[in-house]
Amino acid sequence: MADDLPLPQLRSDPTTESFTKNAARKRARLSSPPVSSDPALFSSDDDPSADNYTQERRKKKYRGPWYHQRPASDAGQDSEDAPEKKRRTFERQFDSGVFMGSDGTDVDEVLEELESRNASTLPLPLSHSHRTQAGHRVATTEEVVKSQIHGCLEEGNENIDFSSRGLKRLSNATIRPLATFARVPPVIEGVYTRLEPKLKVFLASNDLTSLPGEIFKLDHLIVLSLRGNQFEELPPGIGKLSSLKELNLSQNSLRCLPFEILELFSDTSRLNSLNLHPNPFYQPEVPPNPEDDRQEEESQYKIGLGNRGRTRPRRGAVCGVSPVQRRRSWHSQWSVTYQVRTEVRYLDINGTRLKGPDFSKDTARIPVADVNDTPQAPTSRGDYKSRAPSLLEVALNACSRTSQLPLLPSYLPEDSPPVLIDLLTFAVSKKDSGGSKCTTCGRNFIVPRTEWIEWWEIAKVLDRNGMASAASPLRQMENERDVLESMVPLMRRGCSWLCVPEPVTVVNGSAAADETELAD
Amino acid sequence: MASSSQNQGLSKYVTLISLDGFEFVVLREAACISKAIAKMLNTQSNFMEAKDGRCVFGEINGIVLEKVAEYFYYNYKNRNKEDVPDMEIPPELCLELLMAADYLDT
Repeated sequence: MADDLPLPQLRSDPTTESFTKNAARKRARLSSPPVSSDPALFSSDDDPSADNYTQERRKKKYRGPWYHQRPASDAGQDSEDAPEKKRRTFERQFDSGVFMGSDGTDVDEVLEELESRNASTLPLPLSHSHRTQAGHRVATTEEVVKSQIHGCLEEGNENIDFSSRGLKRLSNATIRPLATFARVPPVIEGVYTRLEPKLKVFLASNDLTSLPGEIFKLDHLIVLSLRGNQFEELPPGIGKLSSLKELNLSQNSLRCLPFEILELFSDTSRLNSLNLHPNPFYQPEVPPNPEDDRQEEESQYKIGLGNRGRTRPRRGAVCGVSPVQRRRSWHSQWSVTYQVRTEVRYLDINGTRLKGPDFSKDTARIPVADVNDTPQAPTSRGDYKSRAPSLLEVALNACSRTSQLPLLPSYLPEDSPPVLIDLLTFAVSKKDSGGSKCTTCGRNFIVPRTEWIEWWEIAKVLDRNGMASAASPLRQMENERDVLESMVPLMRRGCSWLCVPEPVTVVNGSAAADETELAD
Repeated sequence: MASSSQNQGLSKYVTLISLDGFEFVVLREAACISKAIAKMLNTQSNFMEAKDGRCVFGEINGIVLEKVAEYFYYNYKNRNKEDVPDMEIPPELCLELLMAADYLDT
């Protein structure tokens, strides 16, 4: 009995040692109940005093006041290392089987963990297990970030700087604690400060391709820097950051911005500085006006202005005022005007293109639609068009609402079409980044049915005399590049084939400029 | 599609039959929102389904097909409306419905 586990050497008091040996009696006398029930012992067990049945012995060893025990455990440290690990495995057997969530535990998280434990016993498709492995590798850098966020929360440090960390992914769970950020108030009598934080999140120079949706729920986010990442598209949730003062999106692979970003220029927002360039944005391909001299028109468009006296360059003949522009009131600091749009791209229920322009990565310029262009849907299903979502969309939405969404692809039968797995993984990424709403009717959707790009001129108003483009707010002089760069492509998405751009009020180029000038 | 079939004296209704033998009689026009069903019922196709207006689905069980039929009417009812209410789907059916939706191309 004492062979494998050396008894504690209780040097101070010999009576205690004898105590330890008479454990059975001792135990009965003690009134403190065991933490959990003992492991069951069956008569069929080969040896009731089996070597690994050490729990009881360990308990006995620690009877008595702690100051007697301490030297004993120190002495037997080396030899005890191995059996110590064995004992650990016993912990699960002591589980009473009753689950009680503590205050600090998120029930959903625990459930998800349980689910994933169950799911790992199921035969998983290859793609899924690959994904979880990748997730594990990233977890290490993310853990560093997590602990840093925790540190910032403790210290009340508002500058959350994760620049150049090689981050590939940020999860919602990492960002979520930031929502509880509270300032540490200075202890000065008679001075009251607001406890609302002014969060500054720097994610510059990482390898991020997506943003967690939780970041858009940070109401007190003042500065967000995403400079130097791999973003190809931003989630529409960016429009929710109403207190944002500085947004830096430069040096990414952005081809267009979400339409919702216009929310940042509404009269209630506080955006002050916006860095959009350099990014490989789509550029509008304006057809030359056949009535004018082609060459001249083209060059006018290219260099931005025909006559230097004008405060605003002419964009060519195609111009109109979008009803959206009229409906909204913009911040006085920003001049936001609708310019042109592409033709509408119609998508099938599973997101494949049926009709419309190709927004591929290789094309830098996309032809714009005529002002009078009315979108024509491809042949409809059935005899009528409907705003109702497709059954696929309805089912996908129901899938998205369940907490087990990331595991759903593994529950599909093996012979199910690959498009379903793609759709489910798409739904996962959509849910993670905060979902999206139809830009026409405001309905939540997962698979868009219509897509088109609108170019808006977004420029900062400096004073009465002139304005600088968003690209370089400080430069007074306009040059060719500024003109091109102030045209920002915004991606609009609709949830049904009836969610298409509304007809614009047709005006010619100069009239449009005059009208917006009056509006200023 | 539906109007042409009506002209030929076909019934306004079609019957959808599930794997476990449940039959759902739905409006032909509503059911034809599904491309797969529309193809089955196409009179030019010479499918059995087109002749007697009965579509048997060997892969969809009654509970799911009931929800599918409900969807057909949901879509039909909201065809000209601006504000379309959401259709509720119990979470336990969502995956099966997703597969049915893909199969029916709806």
